[in-house]
Amino acid sequence: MLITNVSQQPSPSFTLTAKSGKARCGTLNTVFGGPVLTPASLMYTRRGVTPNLVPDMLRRLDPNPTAFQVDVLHFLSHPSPDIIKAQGQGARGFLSMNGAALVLASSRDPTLYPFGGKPSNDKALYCTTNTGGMQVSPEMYMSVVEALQPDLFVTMADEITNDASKKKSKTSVDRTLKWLDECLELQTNLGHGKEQPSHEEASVTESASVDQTRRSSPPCSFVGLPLASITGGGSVAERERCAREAGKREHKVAGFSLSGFGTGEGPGEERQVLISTVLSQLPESKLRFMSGISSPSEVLDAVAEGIDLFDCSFTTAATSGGYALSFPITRQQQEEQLQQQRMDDGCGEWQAEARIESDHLDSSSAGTAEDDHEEGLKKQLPTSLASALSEPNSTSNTTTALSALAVQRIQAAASEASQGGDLSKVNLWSTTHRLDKGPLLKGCTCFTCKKHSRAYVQHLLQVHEMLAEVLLDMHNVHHYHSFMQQIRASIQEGSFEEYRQWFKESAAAAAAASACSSGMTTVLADSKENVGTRVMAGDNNNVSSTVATTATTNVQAAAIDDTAITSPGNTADELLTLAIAAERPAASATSLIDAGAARQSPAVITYSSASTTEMSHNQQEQVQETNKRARLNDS
Amino acid sequence: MALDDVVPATMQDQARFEEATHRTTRWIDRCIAAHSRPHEQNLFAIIQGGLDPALREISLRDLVARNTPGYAIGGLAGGESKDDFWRMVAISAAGLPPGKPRYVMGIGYPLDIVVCSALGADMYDSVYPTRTARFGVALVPEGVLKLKNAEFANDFRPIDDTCSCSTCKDYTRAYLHNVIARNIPSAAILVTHHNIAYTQALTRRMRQAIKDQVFPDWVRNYLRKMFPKGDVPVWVREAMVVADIDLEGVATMDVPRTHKEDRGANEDAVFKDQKTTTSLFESLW
Repeated sequence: MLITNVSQQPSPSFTLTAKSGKARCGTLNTVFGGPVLTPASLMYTRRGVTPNLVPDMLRRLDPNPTAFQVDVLHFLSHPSPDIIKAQGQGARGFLSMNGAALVLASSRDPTLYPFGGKPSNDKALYCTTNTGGMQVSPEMYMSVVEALQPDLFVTMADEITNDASKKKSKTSVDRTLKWLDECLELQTNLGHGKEQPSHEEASVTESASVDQTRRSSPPCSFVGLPLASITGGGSVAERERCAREAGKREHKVAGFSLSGFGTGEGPGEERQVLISTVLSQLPESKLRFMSGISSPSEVLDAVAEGIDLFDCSFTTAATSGGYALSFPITRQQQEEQLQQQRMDDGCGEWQAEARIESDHLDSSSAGTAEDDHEEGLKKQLPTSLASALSEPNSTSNTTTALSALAVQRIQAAASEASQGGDLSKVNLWSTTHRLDKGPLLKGCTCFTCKKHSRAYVQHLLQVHEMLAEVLLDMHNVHHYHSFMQQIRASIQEGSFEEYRQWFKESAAAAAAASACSSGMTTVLADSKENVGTRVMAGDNNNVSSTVATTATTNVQAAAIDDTAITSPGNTADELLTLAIAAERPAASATSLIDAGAARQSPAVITYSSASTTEMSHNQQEQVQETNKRARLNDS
Repeated sequence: MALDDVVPATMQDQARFEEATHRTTRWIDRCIAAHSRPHEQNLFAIIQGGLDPALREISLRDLVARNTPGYAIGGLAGGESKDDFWRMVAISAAGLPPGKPRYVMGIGYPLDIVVCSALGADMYDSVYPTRTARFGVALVPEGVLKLKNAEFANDFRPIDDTCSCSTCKDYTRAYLHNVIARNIPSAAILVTHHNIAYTQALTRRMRQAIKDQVFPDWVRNYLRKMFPKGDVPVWVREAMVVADIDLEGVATMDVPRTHKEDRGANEDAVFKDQKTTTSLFESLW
């Protein structure tokens, strides 16, 4: 379906090619670039450059990222629009993005939030740039857009957070609609009266020594196509109003931009309602861009409602944290990953040291290396929990036994947690990777995984070399874009909803496993010996001991995980329930705890005398308290 | 490289230099004895001697006698005056066998590389090109471009129009001015590419000029481009005399000696009156 361009250029187009539920695939063609397949994620740029990857590195990525997001607000000064215009070739020329299939100019940097420092008014948006706070009028805004000559641009929006008051939401909608019309008018004026050459005739404006091999760039007079901004904060009514009004301008715009998300709304139902409210007012055939959402589960939820384009802060955040993304993209990858985890367990330095220590104390460990691995694994899991998880409960009709997969997950998560990562990301700062010659992620075909090892990236991080971020970013962008590719494939196959459900359950189970394992790790850390019965804290109602509290806190912390959809504040038990539910929907939390209670009190913590002497006085007191309370509960 | 005893060139303790010279000799013997792969790896001895020609001669005599596959000229690039620097390089190069590589350690300013090459050195290493790139300084034939300066805000030329690196092909000075040193690694990487390419191109061009037997002309052109007003520094002029490269028409302006060039001075000179021991070199003239 063609989108008519105000300047009667040979039109760029957005065509829907497949649907699966409300999720859709599309092909976006721009005048000066190749096609972009949607749903797609735009590469983040800061002041027009991808922070870690220079063009020759980008070219080594497969899938090759060709769609970029630039931020209008990065170009208000230093450089000013005048300087970009002086060069005359827009973003593609000035920023050397000649190979880009799509350059989209948005008004929000997804890695930070520059609004709200001071209030905006009807005439101008207040934002913080690197040169300080600025009041930006639609004229200034469109002046930058004109200079950048992007393929698509977002109209200036009065950005507010989700928790804005009803009044503020209403004002934001009024302003955004006003500025929408002003931007559209300014655009018409800018393109008015100037000659519009066709694609074939587009000529390069010569500057001092322009390389002849540069692709044709847009001439001065070309301005991109608008995406109408839609605000409204957390108010369903205001969102609807804004969308409805913006929808009335559908013939003047190429699509719509959902702003103000990722500012505190709940990632589940709360956000879905807002998105579907907005999209229900918009024509299906037009492009939908959403800013501020980029974690995998959240992207899936947005795609499910019908979003086509996203900006991205997720990979940048992972890279700067020293993480290599490892969340499984397909079922097959997940199985392989868990298999691998089991095989690798006990190969890390810490595990080796721990085994040496515990072997020293445990006289029975004289087996082969494999046996040692198994022993090491078993020693990581409290025996009572392991048995509680795997034996049927005699007091209820349904079994609470977790599948082997769930147990694998918990063990894998325990291993990752001890290194500061989880099942969705590897923490390359961890010194356990110092000797690991394997790739960041086994089976990954990216540049970094093919040419370099975990040990090398760990070293680079330790010595603060820039190359660490370059290599991590290569992997993370590859992994993330492969995920986007998988989304598109599942829509094409008509199985998007299935894929989404699998991914989210898998992520939730992974988070639960992390929670369990990190809770356990805390308990286990109290003593060097894993002797006696040590179970995670308390029953459903009464999390009484200090140790238990620590475990729950860790659980709560772990639950707020990028890939999880569980709401924060779940107790350990609820998360265990999720883990079980992921495998066996019929199980219930109570029966699990009952299973534990049937054998012994879950809150009793006993330590051998040898280890008691190593604990601090405080810890000993805590243990005694716990035991005292547990005995009281028992009776 | 062998393990040597290196003393910072700015140190004023003569005895320490003497000790280091002889220790370096003892250590090369120990390195040679310990070296278990002499047929796969080249163990270079490192000439020491500080800024004293006499000690240099001693080091040269002793280490050349060990007949290593190549030699490094060490103890320089540590803040010493340019006068002392080029003289030590000249003495060392003159005292080393002609058929083996001479590696001047820690030399990276392009001008220094040219002068040392003219004096007979072959190999160099330095963090300068990459480090200065990260601070937004690009190397060009005329010297350096400090890309952070406002003058580049709307300069749409590439860094160096004689350079064929990817940065000069795709990016302008104005663009780099915009992104440099704002905690954006890519910007540092782009300038680093150029500086490495520039330094490699510099040495490549020198090799070609030597092969083509036009090296003195090449040096004259290089200096003209870098010092268009003819204000070639005194130390370079003096070094070129020894290198047998005539700078007539190139060094046209009278320039004073800067304090950096004073004999025996150094960048944080405390004992300005203390001269080095009688220079063998001086006595030759």
